[in-house]
Amino acid sequence: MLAVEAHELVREHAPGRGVCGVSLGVRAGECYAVLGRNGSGKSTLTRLLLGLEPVGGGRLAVLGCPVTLGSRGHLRRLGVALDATPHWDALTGWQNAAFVASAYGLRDGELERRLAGLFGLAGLAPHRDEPVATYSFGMRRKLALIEALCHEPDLVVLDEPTAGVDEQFRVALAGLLRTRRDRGATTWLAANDVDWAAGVASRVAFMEAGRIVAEGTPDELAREVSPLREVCLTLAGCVAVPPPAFDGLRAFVQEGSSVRALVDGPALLPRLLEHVAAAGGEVARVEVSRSTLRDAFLLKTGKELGQ
Amino acid sequence: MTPSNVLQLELAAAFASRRALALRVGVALLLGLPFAVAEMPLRARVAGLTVLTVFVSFFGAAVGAVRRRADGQTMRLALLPIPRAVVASDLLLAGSVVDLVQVGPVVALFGAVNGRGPAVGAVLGVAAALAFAVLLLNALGMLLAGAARSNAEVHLAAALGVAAIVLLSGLVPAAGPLLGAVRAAARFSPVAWLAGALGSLATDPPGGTAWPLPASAAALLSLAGWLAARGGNWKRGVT
Repeated sequence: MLAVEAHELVREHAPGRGVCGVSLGVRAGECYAVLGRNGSGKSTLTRLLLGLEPVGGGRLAVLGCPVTLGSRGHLRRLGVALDATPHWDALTGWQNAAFVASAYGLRDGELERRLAGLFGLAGLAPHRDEPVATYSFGMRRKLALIEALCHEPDLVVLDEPTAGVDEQFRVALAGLLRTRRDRGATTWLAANDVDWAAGVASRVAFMEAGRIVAEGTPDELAREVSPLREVCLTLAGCVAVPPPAFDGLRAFVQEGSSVRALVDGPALLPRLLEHVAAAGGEVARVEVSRSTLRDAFLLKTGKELGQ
Repeated sequence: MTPSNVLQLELAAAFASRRALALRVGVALLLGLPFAVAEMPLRARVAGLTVLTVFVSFFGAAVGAVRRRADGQTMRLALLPIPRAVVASDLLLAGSVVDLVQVGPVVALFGAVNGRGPAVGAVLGVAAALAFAVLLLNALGMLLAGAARSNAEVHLAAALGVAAIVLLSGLVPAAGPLLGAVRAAARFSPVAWLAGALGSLATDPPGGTAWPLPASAAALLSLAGWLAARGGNWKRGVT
């Protein structure tokens, strides 16, 4: 059974912006991560899932319910934490979370048990009775994630869940999402934290300019680039290096003094260094490493995925 | 206390800070004080107090709703499995209760200073007219906020709305050609009913109100019942 099913889904804000014809199917029990740069359309796609955006074309069904702007049939089985984290700041973290848990039908002992567990996991237990107005950005994010997960929903929708949270919680959240996957619950992630997503997702989609450009398990996508080597060069100054044109070079991007290239093997490193030197660049540091999911994104889209 | 519905959430947030509460009540009291105690014609005092109620309820509801939207709280509520009608009615009731807490003390002071002895009918009439006007003004303010696209737009529209309500309720003298229309509109305006009820408190003997005693009592009981149904069963203490 599919938890999320989209067919030629369109919601274009401008040409190439938003969602420009996305077809995908997320099976129940999967942890599905949509990875893309800022503005790639992953947040619009996520908002479409929630019925927060009008569908411009195509079809979308979530947990078996057809979804368009204002659809509410699927909300009871959903947990949501979007990139913004609105709360009632005058109230405590516990009061905010308890209200959300009540809205999902949790009561008394069960509500307290679930929330206490999640507050403990997030490290918020000592601060649960403090007003949200005193919380940091990361604490607010954690509170939003607690609210999304407290009722153990069939589908949890998380937009940039690791933005602003500490490493301990990133690890704890990854564990929690893996447990959900093992239990057969579905998770939708929209993220650009590729390393974290690779560790929790059972399937990954790369999104660029409103379209899914590649899809597969993290292993499948990484395997495509596994014979390749990633070469990272740090230049001594800020010199613009034009992309070289030689066989075996798969991708080349420069951001300031940092140059990243995907090459067929380490033997091509001297040619790359020669090219940089010819362009007037002085190389201060060279790193060669095995390719990762991040490199797969670079290979498929030609663009660098942000941290 | 742990809120378990939108009404409780909004009331808990509104009354969480004693300082914020004192400011709300204190500012309304200071603004309304001249109309309660200063020596001026009764009509002017009643009009001043009623305009204050319109401003607090209508303008406050419109601006508050847009602020909620800008803060993301409206979207947060929309993503919860709570029927929209329940969210809207809880927000309406919460806004009205908060406004009654704000303007109630001023109106009570007006009654204490200007009342002509104990008159249960007149007092109940004022209470019912005040509650009804505040509810309706909150609803109008929320509707206006739904149509406005930005904070600036809602401020402008709400200010113009206050002026229109004040004019159409006959709180300020209308120009000759408008007089007939204003009189006709005022007959159906709960704001004009509130002004009438406030005026009747200060006449000797207390005059009749637009609301007969049974209707006032029934309106107040209905509101209390609504409030008890949604605002009851709070979980006390920090859980």
